[in-house]
Amino acid sequence: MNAPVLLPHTSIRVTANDMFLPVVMTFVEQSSLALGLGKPEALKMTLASEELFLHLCRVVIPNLGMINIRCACKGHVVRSDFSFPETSLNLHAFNITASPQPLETADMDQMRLILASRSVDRLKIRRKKNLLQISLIKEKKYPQALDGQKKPYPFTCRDFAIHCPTAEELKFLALLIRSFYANNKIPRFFQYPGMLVDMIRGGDYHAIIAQGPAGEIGGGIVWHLLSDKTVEVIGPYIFGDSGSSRPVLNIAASLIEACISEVGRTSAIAMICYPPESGQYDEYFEYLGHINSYSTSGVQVQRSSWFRMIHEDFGTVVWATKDIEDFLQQTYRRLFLSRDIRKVADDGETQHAHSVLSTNIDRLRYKVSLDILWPGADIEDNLSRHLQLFQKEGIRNVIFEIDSGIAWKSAIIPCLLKNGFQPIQILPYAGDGDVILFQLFPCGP
Amino acid sequence: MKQPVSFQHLAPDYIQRFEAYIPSKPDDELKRLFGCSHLFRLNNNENPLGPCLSAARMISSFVPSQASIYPSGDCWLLRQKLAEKHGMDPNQFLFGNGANEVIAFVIKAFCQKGDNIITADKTFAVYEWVAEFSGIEARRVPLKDYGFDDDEMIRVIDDHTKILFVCNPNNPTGTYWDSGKLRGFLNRINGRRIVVVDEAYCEFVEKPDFPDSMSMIAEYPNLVVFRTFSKMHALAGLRIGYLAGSSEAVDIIRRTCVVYSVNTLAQAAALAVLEDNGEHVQQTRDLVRRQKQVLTEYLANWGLQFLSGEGNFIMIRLPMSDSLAYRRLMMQGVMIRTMTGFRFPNWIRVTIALPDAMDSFMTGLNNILKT
Ligand SMILES: Cc1ncc(COP(=O)(O)O)c(C=O)c1O
Repeated sequence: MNAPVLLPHTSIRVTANDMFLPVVMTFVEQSSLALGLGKPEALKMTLASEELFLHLCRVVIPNLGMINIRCACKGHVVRSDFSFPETSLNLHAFNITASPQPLETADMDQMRLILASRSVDRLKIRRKKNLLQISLIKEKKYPQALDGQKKPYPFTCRDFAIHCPTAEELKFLALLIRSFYANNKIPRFFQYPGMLVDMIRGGDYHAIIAQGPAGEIGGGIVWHLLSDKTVEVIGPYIFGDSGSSRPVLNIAASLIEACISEVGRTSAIAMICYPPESGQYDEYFEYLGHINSYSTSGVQVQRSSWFRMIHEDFGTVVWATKDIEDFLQQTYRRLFLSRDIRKVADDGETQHAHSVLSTNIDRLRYKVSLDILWPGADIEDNLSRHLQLFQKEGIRNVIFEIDSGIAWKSAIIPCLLKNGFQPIQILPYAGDGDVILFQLFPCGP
Repeated sequence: MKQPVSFQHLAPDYIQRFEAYIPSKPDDELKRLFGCSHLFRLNNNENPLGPCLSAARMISSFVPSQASIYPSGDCWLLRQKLAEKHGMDPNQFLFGNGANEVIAFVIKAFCQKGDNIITADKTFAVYEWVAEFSGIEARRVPLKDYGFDDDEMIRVIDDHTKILFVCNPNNPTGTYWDSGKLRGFLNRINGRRIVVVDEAYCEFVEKPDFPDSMSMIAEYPNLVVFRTFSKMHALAGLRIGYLAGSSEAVDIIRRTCVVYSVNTLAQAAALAVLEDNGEHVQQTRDLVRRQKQVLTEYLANWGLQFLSGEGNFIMIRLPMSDSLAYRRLMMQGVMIRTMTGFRFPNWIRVTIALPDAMDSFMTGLNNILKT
């Protein structure tokens, strides 16, 4: 499952100079169309690239550095990656909130990164080796499934076997999931069967189904690599009769076991899952906790997370400040994880002037995840500028991810706490070490 | 100034894709980490009785000045001894730095790009690992009733299949092919592929129908047998194992073999093992038999599913994640092997050891099953 898939892609290399704007726009537009985006989506991607490129030329890379632009299609999404060497950058301007003026008086037009993020589904900032990369990600448009009134029959067979589904079976799986599970319990892509098929074809997502002797589908499970070391499991979804729970449990267990066995000999260290129903998973997964998030209409959605390790755990180092020591001790004790907790403290050493935050805006879920790319003396101002911006943008769900395997990242914990964040969950091995999730409170309406 | 190197560019795809095995940390480090005062290693199927007396004597009488001299490059004395023991020719044996190394010899000798090997999905993983990081496809046939499925292995053979690996008895399920089944399989293969039978645990088997594979080599020149001194003979730390086959097969395999990879001390200790009177093997078998009895009764009391076949280990199915059980047992000073990596989620494999270690394991398991 971790074979590198050679993606269809296009790329150009341009000097960071406005005069190339038409070249960049034409390149991104034509690439997006060729890679499968519809006309309206390709235009939005082009718009986002325009804002991004201008921002890079005028503010981030003022001295005519080179920018690589690569457009690629991965299953159901097209992405445009803008990358450039991290030397000679105007670091401060790299933050999504970068603006020559304080936020209160800033003209939104000057905040081109934010503008760029508005026309795509996701904007990601990453630091990769010696490169910085800003990615614009746009989903292809798929027709939403139109289901008839008639609910498919529940699965009643005693015998079933585990298989990889064909495209048609995947679509039928999506239909069953829509029929047997409430809309708010299932990921969006099950509403768009074509998207599901493309996701699996793209190679990042995998699915298996439990099938009866005549091809009836009794259940299914989907998974994908969330980071280098963590696999996210989606499901299992089971379509049995609620009266006869025995075969249903068997199907769930068989699907989970088959999925774990597949992942067992890959590079993944941990699996994380958000099961659609409670109660069946403690035999395979360990409960991490739950996170409440809010939709735009103010509806609260609670999501519980479970995990399991794939290999034997030889422990790891956790860097943290003393403010969250109790939280860490309690959580690690509950999860039976052995950790070397080491203290980081601000001992007054000289810092860079400007910090850089990476922002992962998910417009589809009104969610933003933050991470720190560079430490700097202005972290407090920088963070509060970001928070004000998200508020203005109507984004309620703000999570800060601290990779506790990297000491300088953990050093900003006191600043997070001061700004209304609280530690809520630990994702074992989700980064260099465990990732500690901090949620911004209050996050409700 | 340090030159930047593009390692991604230099390494072949199949290497980039391959994930390196991470061995466990040293005992002291683990004890500190898991906060335990003692540690019973029940994870590697080692023999807790240690090597036989004559090998132990040989090891303690090792003269430091011998360390400066290269060992026998081809384990000359050991091959003479084995030849004498099995009525074969010394050229029919090839030694390596553990049986693990001879796996690599065989794959390198017979496979090239485009070829494949066949093994089971739930067995010792090194066959498939060596194949994969050498750019050779590994076809994994699902076990049938926890044993190697001969029919299916034969069914997936194609023109590019070079080697079929059978782990006999199988690590981790303890199932085995008897003489009749192995013979039947070799007859059907009819000399067209190499059949490797890995007998790492054969010294633990007391069943009369277990194949005498050494004697079958004369009849089947495509049969290659692996043996190790790591398990029953308790020389795992010295790293020594070997393969046996027809002179023609071994003559090919020898071309890929790294000479001098087996050190002097390992050779001397293994020679002492081959000259030993067999009492140590008997004592170990008695220990394994008795302790398996104790453990299986305990497991039956808890109503836990288990597989207790041949070999010095038992597989147990737990009502929880095997990796959670690993961590909770480690905190109590017991190290077991999780089986998710063997594609047996929620199963663990436990090495049969001395009563104190087994008690510790059972107490530890009580504690985690109760809460
Ligand atoms: C089936 C099997 N073959 C081979 C080996 C490798 O043995 P050695 O220590 O000789 O490399 C092992 C060790 O675990 C094993 O279980």
